[in-house]
Amino acid sequence: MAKIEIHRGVSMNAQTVVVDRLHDLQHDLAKYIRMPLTFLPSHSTAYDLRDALHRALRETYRRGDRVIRADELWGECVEWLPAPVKQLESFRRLEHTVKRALAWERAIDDPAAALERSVLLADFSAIGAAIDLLIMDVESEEDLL
Amino acid sequence: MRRPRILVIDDGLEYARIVAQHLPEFELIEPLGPDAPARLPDGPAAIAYLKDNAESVDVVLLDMRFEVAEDRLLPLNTNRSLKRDSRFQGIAILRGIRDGHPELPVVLLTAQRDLALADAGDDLASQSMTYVLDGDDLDTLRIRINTAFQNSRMSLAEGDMLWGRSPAMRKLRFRLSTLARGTLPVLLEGETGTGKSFLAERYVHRNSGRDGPFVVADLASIPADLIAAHLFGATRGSYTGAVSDRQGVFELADGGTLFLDEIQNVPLDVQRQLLVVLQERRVRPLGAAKERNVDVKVIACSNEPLDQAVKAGRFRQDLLMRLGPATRVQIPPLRDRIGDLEFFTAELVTKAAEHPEIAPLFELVAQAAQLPSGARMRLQLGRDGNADNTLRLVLPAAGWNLLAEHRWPGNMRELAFVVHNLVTFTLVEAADAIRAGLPIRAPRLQIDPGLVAELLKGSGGAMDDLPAANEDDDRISVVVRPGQTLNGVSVEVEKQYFLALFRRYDGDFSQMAGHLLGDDSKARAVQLRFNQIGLKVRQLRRR
Repeated sequence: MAKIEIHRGVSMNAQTVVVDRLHDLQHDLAKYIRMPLTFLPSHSTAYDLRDALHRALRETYRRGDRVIRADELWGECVEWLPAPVKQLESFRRLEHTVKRALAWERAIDDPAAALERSVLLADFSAIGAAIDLLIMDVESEEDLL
Repeated sequence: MRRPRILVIDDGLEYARIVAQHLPEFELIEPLGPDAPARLPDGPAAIAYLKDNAESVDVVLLDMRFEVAEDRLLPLNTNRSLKRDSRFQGIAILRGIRDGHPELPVVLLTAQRDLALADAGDDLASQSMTYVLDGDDLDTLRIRINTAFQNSRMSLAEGDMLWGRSPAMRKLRFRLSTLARGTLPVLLEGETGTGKSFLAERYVHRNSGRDGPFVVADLASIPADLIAAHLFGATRGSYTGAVSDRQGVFELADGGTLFLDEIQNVPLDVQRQLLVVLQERRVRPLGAAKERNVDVKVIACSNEPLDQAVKAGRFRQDLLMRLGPATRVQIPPLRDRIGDLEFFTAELVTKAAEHPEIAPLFELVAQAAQLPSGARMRLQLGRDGNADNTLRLVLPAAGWNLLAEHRWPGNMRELAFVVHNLVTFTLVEAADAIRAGLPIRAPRLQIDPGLVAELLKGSGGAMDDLPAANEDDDRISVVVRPGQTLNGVSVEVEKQYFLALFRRYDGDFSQMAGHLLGDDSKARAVQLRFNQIGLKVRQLRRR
């Protein structure tokens, strides 16, 4: 298996690097897309919920001064992932899950769109679970890369 | 009452925003001034801030991952990997905080899974005042901050109760304060001398809110065939020797608390009756036709884990379930909270000097030292110490080392006994000298380390209760005892193994190196390992 040199003197194989990148996605996207909604008080108004949805999808993560949207985080990762990973069934499931979550963006600017916190949370939480499955697949497929 | 003050350490702004917007019951500290985001963005900034301002912080909220410039990352360990340093930066920052502030409450904003990935779970679990937010909802965060804050305000002692600062005892105290107020039985398990009956009466019963009496049933001292009558009562003539009606302890404790001491001694047939009483809350005295209602809070204790007694067929599984495995409280042995030994010893010294039998001796010595009335006795370790209207009891390093290395098989009871005797003997010697007309003036008395050794000798020393190395082969038996962390258990096992080897080779490290590493020349490495796991070679040789 190919050895990739990353950072100062730490040698990792390609599989480990991919898993590491997926852990990043777990943190940057899966954690932070949920956060504005999970930490919303139970008595929140419809306005609060829409504002939380805005932050979840359009101000998802911050790197220094740069604010990154959820679709950017996903796009960066997809572009980076090696082709064999994208052939995995668990990747396709993740892709489907993320697209379903990102589709909620249309509702942000549509005052008529009905928003239900539990539904949003279910859709957003599914991303973390789908990333976990993909990580397990990558770790178990020894000859993937 | 002022609001608890929260310091957020996070490279992002989300947690500070959450506290500011949704947790008005807490005050968010603005460490960089009112115009900057209310958080510290990295480890160096946090350590520098806390150096001067820790007193004004009640709880720290600390994120785990920090995406900051390389020069702002604290190293996680010596083999630096920027990725790992960044991902688990919260742990590196926590270590930095703990260097200067061991008791500052810190809530780590991460999942247990991340701690496991960083191999830091055990390390953090053994730390005092460190909490993990394993979840991401507002109420969990609110509860975790509140628990951290409340625990930090608990005093180390509460009347006669010496809690100390070990994480295990903090958890135990919190748990007991909750269990005391409920109706479920409380099951206390712990070695002899850990203070089960003391906790039952002085803490659980007192905090139960019940007006009735505290009744003790010492089931180890009652003949097996009389236990049923003792527990449930009996009518006249119901058994040989029952010359009159007698109330059982359940009835005597009605409206109060019944402490079933050493419950593992209850015979199996009586256990069944006990189960029914606990379930139905009604008791039928032996020979009586009618049952009587009883309202009793039951505290049971055992000096052996009851599930072991169940496995051995000596205790009913259904009774154990009724007593409530969920309300089982394990009192840790003193050796597992040895970090509190100094505090416990100091408290016990002060209390011993106030004991009615010792107080006259103390007063005599205090008067000779011209201390004001009401002066107290205080433990002093080593030479340093200020004259502050106390009679200082100086324990030299040699004596302290003996206490610190002792295994305390008799736990707190043994420590209290040893300290009581140290105070008594030292005061008696001083009082004798004063009565003999000697000019004893200094407000300090020194404990003879030889006396410490003598008192400890009777109760099993550091090595005496450990199995010896088997001379016939390479097998060495060790005793695995439950500990607070896997690392603690592992070190304890390693200690026993090394002690056994030390005995086998009469302290010859070359031979030990030959045995362990196949190379006699690596004696130094073995000796270093002894030091690392806390075995003091010089003291072992003296023994």
